[in-house]
Amino acid sequence: MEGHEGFGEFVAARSPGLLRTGWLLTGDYQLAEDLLQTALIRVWPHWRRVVGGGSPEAYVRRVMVRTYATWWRRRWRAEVPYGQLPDRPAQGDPHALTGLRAAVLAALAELPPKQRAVLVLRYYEDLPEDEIARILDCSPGTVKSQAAKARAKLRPLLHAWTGEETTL
Amino acid sequence: MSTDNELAELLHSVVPEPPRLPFLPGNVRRATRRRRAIRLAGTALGLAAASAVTVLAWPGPAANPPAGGVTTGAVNPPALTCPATPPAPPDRVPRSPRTTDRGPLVPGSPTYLTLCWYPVQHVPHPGSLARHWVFDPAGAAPFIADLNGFPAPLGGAHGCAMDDGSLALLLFQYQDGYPVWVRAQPTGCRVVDNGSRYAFDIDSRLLDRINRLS
Repeated sequence: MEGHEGFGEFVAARSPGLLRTGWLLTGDYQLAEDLLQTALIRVWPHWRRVVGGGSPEAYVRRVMVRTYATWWRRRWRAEVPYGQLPDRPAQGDPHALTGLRAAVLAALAELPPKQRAVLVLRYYEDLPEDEIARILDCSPGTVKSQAAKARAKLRPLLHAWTGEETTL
Repeated sequence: MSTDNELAELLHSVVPEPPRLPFLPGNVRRATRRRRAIRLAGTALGLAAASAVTVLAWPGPAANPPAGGVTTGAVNPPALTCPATPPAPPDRVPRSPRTTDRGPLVPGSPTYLTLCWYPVQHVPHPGSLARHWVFDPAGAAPFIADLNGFPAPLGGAHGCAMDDGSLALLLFQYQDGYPVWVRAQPTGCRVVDNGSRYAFDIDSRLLDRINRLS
């Protein structure tokens, strides 16, 4: 369709990665699918301009993060924190990985949405602070402080995972 | 290894493999077109309402009925939101003034349906909301046909073996409000309840439909 060249290819190629980001933000692939689809629906009418901007993936990610923040304010999130943290999983132990995954999700669920978004964008997406600041409409200083707070909250989990005392 | 790297590694290690794409770019195109049409219709209605200088109780375009036979609810947040946990038997679901103890389970013509699924196998909280779908009238029609085709209460004792506790809530939204809640227990007594009347021993059609969606 005119003005939407490459959209289908973009969705096919980039959706798995964006879904993973959505999973870390929402804790659920079904919600992540909703989040991504919402972002794509918002982006589609402006696709030509988005592509012209040079980084459609970053744009879609930004829409996802902002949509996530909106949902967080409006919706029940189906996330309940855990009290206990699991041990670090043995290599290749799927059950331990499941426990670790649940613990990470629980720890993420306890973070305020902005801290969670900062954590995901900074440590999972490996984005620089100024790019995260642009996505979240805040200053790089805020990104830094939010990342530090998020790291501090994940300290016990990281400690359990590495099995070592960790200074964050 | 630095803690930043450890944190990055931890996050990467726990993200599971994403599912195969449940949607196609075509869905996005169709949903966008329908959303635009709904927005245009909403604007026209708003202008008409303003010119009539009448305060209407009808929620109008704000209800944002999602387009398409079935959507994951992402087109617009549905006006009816699934509760985190459903009202479980013996509690009844809220009774709508549009239902009666002898009438159909789902009367009239709902504008859309929000289907909430609470499977007992849901990890980590069995019986909590696992998934929801939103259907337009065309998508809701088979569910309404199923529900209104179920038998009336037969009375007496009912065998309720194999009740695994899974529940489905079907929230039917109407243009003038007064939604109808229907709770379906797909196992055990296989009871459907709309707050005004029950139907027992429903067959597996409803569960089959839900399973096909999952």
